[in-house]
Amino acid sequence: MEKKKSEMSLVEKVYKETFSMFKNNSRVLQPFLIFALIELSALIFVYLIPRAPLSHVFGPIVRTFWGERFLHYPANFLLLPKLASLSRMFLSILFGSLLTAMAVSIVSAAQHKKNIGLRLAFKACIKKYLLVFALVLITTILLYLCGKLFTFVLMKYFLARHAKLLFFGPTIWFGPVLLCFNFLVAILVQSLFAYAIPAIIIGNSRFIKAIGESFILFKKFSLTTLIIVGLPLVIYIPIAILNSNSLLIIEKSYPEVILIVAVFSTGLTSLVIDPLVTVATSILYLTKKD
Amino acid sequence: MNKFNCALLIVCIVLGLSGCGNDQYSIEKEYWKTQKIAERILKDPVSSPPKQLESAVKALNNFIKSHPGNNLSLISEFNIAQLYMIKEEYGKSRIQLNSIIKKFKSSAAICSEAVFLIGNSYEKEDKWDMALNQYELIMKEYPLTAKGFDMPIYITRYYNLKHQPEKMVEAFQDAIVYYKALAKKYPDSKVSFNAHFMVVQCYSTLKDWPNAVASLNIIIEKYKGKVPLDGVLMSLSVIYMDGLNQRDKAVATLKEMLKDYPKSRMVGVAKEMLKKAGEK
Repeated sequence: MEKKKSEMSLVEKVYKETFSMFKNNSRVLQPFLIFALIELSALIFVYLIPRAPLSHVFGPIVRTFWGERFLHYPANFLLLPKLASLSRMFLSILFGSLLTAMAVSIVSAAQHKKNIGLRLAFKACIKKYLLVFALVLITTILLYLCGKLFTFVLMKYFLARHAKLLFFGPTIWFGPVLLCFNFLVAILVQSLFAYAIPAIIIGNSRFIKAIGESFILFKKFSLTTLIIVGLPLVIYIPIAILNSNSLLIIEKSYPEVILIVAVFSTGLTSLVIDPLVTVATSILYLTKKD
Repeated sequence: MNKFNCALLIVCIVLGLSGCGNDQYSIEKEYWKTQKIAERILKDPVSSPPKQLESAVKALNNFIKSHPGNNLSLISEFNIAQLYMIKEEYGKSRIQLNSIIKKFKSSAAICSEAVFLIGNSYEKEDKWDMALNQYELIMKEYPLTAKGFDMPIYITRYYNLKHQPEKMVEAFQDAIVYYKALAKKYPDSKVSFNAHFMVVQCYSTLKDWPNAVASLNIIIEKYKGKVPLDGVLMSLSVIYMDGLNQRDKAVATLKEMLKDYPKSRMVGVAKEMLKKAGEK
């Protein structure tokens, strides 16, 4: 009970510092803004794939993996959330890793009363790019595999002509249950690796040691970490629900609403959720390290 | 201009150009909007006001005018006819369908579809004789189209649904004559093979097993070595087994099938049948 209380007050302290960081040192948001712009460009690109001249080059790829109908209006909007999520995954590994490291570096400098810009942060992080790249790659693969494995197990179960699993039919399992599972896995995996990038960038730890440090910190402050990572992710739930009901959106309103949801989702994840998680975990790491 | 700026400029131009032209995608988008108007009537044809029909037809006609020659324009032409039909304005529906026939007279597939819908409109008005005239017209004018090929069976199904067994049997006899003539008129074609097979199906439905077997043997004789006959041999064995009760002939046919087509999809079923017949 006492530990719980102290962890809650730690959450409060970390959030206070996080918001004051956003208020007094807006430079920390710059890497996230850059990533949001990259992601938005990718989203526009993905949206334009069914149209000439992009359709000539990328049309065959969509046709091969998902089918011809997704190159036509309005079915292309059904594929848009999936393509947006895949492009985000790819961009997170390639650019997001470096930009997050840069944000961590800016937070660390700010905590030590120094003010560094993007150029200095880039210089400090580019040497460790391979490490953060590998880290984000592992986290993304782990998240992806967990989701796929659960879907695979469910598919196997229901394809074996079972009508129900624990009182629920496939509609419930593949709908809200899968959504909740993916959400919980996202919180857990991100919490486990939350302190690895700060450990690499601030603590100058090697790859395995950084992961180990992250696991130890998570074990020590599990409730605080789960709240710091999980609370911002809660904001994403309505978007996830909208994304899983694309067909209904098309039928009841306009297909373009899916694009608006995707743009909003990009802004929300890149400019709200990611900064909150990254800055808060970095501050917690710094507090505990000092 | 350095290389990076040049590449960025090209990317911007490509992205800017995407979606600016009147390409197939923007036509599909426009079609979807007109479809949405028509959908309101299709969802509730009884209580939708006449004005709604007018605006849907107007939207579809505008779309057709804007995109002549596009596939979706052709679909829109049929949509108009279907909207009239669902609102029970059969006369207007037939005028629309006749205009389609006039417009696309060089395409047998489109014309056969339009004539079929004209027949349907008469059927909905309970004017079977007029409908039958249209269906027979399809059989005469467009025998090689999918609709033309299916028409005799469609007619038999109508009599079956209306509980007129004598007329149904008569329609099957007519269908047999039709398919035999078709097979004769277009020998060595895919149509001929399919027509022969339809003859077998008609005889089988009439439970005229000897004629069904004779027709299957004609197919085997004519097409052996030219096309895979595993399905034909399978049908023959089923008729021997269940229709004529000639177990030995059924077993021999199944064995022949397994020997000639060991990789056929029907191998499992054939083996199962042999097992049931007491053969190894």
